[in-house]
Parts: sequence; C-alpha cells; structure tokens
Amino acid sequence: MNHMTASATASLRGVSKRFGSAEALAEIDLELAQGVTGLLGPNGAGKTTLLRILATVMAPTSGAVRLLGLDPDDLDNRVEVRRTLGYLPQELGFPRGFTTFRFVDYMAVLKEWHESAPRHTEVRRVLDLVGATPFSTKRIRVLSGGQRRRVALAQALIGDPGLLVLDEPTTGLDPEQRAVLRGVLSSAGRRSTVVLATHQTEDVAALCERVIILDGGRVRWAGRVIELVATAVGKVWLADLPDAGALTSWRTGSGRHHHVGMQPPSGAELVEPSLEDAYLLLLGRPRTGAEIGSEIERGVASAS
Amino acid sequence: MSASVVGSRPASMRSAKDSPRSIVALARIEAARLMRHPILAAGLVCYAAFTATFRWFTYPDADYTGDVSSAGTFDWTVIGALLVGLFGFVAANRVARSTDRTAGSVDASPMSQSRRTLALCFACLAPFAVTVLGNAVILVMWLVHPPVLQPGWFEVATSEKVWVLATAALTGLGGPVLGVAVASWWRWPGALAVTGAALVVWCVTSAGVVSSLALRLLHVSGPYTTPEYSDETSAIIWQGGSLMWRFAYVVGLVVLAAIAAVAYGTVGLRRRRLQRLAVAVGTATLVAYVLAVFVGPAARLIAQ
Repeated sequence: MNHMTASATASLRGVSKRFGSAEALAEIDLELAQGVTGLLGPNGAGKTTLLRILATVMAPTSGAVRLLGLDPDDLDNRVEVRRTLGYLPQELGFPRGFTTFRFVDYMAVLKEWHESAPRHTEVRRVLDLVGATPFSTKRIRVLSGGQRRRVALAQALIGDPGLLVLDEPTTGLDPEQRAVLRGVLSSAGRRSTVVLATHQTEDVAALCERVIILDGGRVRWAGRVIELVATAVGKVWLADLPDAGALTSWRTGSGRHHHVGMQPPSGAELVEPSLEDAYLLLLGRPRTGAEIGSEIERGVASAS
Repeated sequence: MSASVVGSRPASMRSAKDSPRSIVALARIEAARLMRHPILAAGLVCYAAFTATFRWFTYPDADYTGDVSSAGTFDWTVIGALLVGLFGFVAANRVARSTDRTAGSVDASPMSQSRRTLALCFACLAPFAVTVLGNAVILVMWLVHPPVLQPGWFEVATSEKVWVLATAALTGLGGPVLGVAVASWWRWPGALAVTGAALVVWCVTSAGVVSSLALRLLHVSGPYTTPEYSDETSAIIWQGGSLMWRFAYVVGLVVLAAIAAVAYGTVGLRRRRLQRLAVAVGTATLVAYVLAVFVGPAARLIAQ
C-alpha cells in the first residue's frame, strides 16, 4: 500500500528501529517533500538512525518506508533509489592514499558513472561546488577536518541526487564555509529533497523550510520552521538579572540575561525568539553539560 | 567555495543494463590501486628486475660452465609466487579492506558489495598479467637460448614446461583473489597473517618428494609447487602426474576463491545461484585434482 502523498519524496509509516533492547526509533510517521528539511534533536534522539534508514543502509525493524515512490526493502528498488541518492554519513573515513579528486572520482564510479570524460566533469563540478578545487590534487590525509568534510559532502552531491541525506554536514566548517554551504544546499533544495541532521539550529533557521525534532526516538515536531519559532513567541526575555526559574538562562555579551521560560522574570523585556529558543522550549529542558561537552568533543575531533 | 547553482542532472548511465560497464570502470580503478599498493609495487619492481636479469644468473646458454646440478629448472618460479602471488595476496586484502572506513556512503551507492568485490577480483587480472608476461618472456628466452646444461632439460617435454609455467603464472591471480576472499569473510585481527602463513605452509609442504600416494595427494593439492624435487644426493626427480589437469585444478581453486569473495553479503536468489555455481566449480576442481593425481606419467629421475 502506498501511503505517500503526491509531493512526498520519502514516506515513513510506523517505522521503528531497535538495537537489542534499546529502541532508537519508535513508530515514526513522516513525509518528506522537495526542499530542505532540518532534523534536530539531542544526542541519542535517533537522528542518525533515521538518516541511515533514509539512505537505505539500514532497514527498520518494523514499519513501511517508501523512497522516491519505491519500497527499498526490495533489492532492485533499493538499487534504483540509490541511483538518485546522495548520502553524507556522520563520520566518513577515507581510504588511504587517495587524493581528493581520486576519492570523489571513485565514489562517482560507485554511482555508476562509468564513462571517464563525463565523470571527471561531474567530479570537478561537485568539487567546485564545495570549494574543494584548490586541494583536489592533495592527499586526503593531509587535509584539515573542514576540508575533509567538504570532500565528503562533494561525494554526496555527485549526480545532483533527488534525495540528499546529510548527517551534520557543517561540522568542522568555519563560518564562511558554512555560509557558502548554505547556498549550495538551498540551491539543491530547489530541485531535490534535502534532509540534514545538525546540532546547529542557526543552520536550520537559515536553510530549512521544515524541521523535524526527534527526542527519544519519537517525533516531537514536524512542520514549518516559522511555526515552531512562533510557539516561542512571548516566552523569551532579556533581563538585567539571572532567573533561576527559567528553563534556561545565560548572560549575553551585552551583560543582560537571555531567559527562555514560561514566566517572565521581573523587569524583563520581551524579545523575538529564535529557533533555538523554540527548540529548548519544545524539549522542555536545556542540553545537559554532558551533551554539550560531547558536542564540543565531536566538533574538536572533526576539526582535527 | 562556490555557491553557484547545482548543475542540471547529467543525462547518463542510470539503467541496470549499465552494471557491467560500471564494474569494468571500477575494476580499472581498483587495478590501479592494487598495482600501486606499496607492498605489491615493491614485489612487482623486484619481479621485473628478476625477469630482466634472469638470463645472467641462471642457465641461459651452452657457455655456462658452473655447477648447476643443485637447482631445478623451474625453481625460479617461486620468485613470482612470492613477489606477485603472496605480496598480491596481502595487497589485495588491504585494498579490499580500505573502503571499510567509507562504509556509510559506499553502502549507499548502487554498486552492491558483491559487485564491488567482483570488480576487485577482475582487478586481480593486472598482477596476473605480470606473471603471465614474466613467464612468457622467460619461455621465449629459453627457446632462443636453451639452458642445455640445466639438469634434466632434455628430459622434460616442451608441453610439460608450458603447463608448469602456466600454472606458476596463476599465482599472480590466485594470491590476490584469495586476499580479496579473506577480506570479505574474515575480518578478525590477524586473519591476513594467519591465512598467509597457512598458504605458505601449504605450498612448502606440498613441495616434498612424492614417495607415496598420500604425498602425491599433498603435492598436487598445493596451489603453488614445483614439479621437480632435488634430494640430498643432488638427484632431480620429476614428480610426474598430469600437469594439464593440475593447471585446471589450480584454475578451479582461483575461481572458487572468487566465488567465495563475491558471495559475501549476497542473499536470496543471488546467493543460491552462487552456491550452485560453487558446487559445479568445486566438483570440476575435484575431478581435475583426481585426474592430476592419477593421470599422466609417474615420477622419474631426470638428472643425477
């Protein structure tokens, strides 16, 4: 039975994934259409598991998945889906000895670009898109973390895929690179369905029309970004003093305190909420120190 | 980094019929990777140097007056078995395992693991071409400058010499293909060392004199062995048996290794087809083995 709506590129119905006794995804229902969709959630929320299912490298324990109108459970369909799929895993290693160009060229061959002339043209195109042309002849092992991430992204863009699945694409990129990458992804989103998981709410706010928030393997929000942000209107304030009763509160660079919570602190000034404020309010808890530490560690590891 | 619009999706190469061409394209790249692998590259350079200088350090012409009675005519084939066969075994294993780090995006490509492995098996034809060429060069050299003082040279028929060289050349294919098969199935630490050591032990033990049926069975079973045996009295014994059927047996071993490699990760109909093929090839290999043992001339003294 096809549950997909006419515009949906990907459809998940009652999708669950278990690893032993741990439930990574629980009865997920989602539809993804053309455009850029952000995937947010705390560590362990199930984002990577969901993306791996969308990328056909992992099968759900139960539930129905349809990608580009096909059931990837069938081997032939799965191959067909992969022909128009780009996937950037969270941590992509590289074989030893490859230069940037050779690696992306290798991945292009795996995507069935068997004729060398058009393949090389395509490789040069995607390397240019992510700004990797200046180091295309360098061995990958000598590249920085941000450069490697761009190489990894380049392989996902080969063939202008109809479904682009990106797991933390901006990790390790500097602000300028991130800004340009947003241009690349928003451009791709005009023709393709782009799903990107990230911890950077500003990337989602800048790029995505829709956002999905996962928590504990369940969808907490699936809808337009502006609608999510609207849920935080009237719940974010700037005040001169800290407020222990706020959901989360921090001292800003101006010396005033940014409060997110249901009750205004005394003398507070209501401000425009950001996506991050809405996200924190939705989850009902700020990120823990351990979660933040883990993210910093991963960022440092990626950058190195 | 360029923020230009993603280029239009290139018209290409996206039908299932293109699979063979994609495998050929990938095989070319894998062959280049295999031949450039430092271990095999070093072996190939040494093997080329050996082949080029063969005439000067072995028995090329009638002017040679040294003591040559302690070595068999075909002992030098161990050089190719070691430098191309064994080194190729290690190199192909490392090349096959190198994409493990890239598993996420490689697994999301339309090229299935079995097709990637098949391409790698085809890539093993590159080192095979080297051993074929090397042995062909030496055969021509022999025909131009017969090693007339070589013990037993005239006792061995030309057809026997050709079969021995052809079988020895198979090490350039069998070693690398076995390396790929080991990489597919045995991923535990030390698997390469253990199987490599077992391979060497098998070859060494099968090189002994054939003085009983059990020893003949062992001798013929070896994937690489010389047809001569030199005992402590410096007598050289031609081990006998059918060299043609032994060649067929070794070809069967190579094909079985390739089937085993490609079968990894397959399911359903494809797995059953490969199993049926393995049974057919295994049966043919066994028949060739039995014929190699029981057909052909008996062991004989060819030089004292």
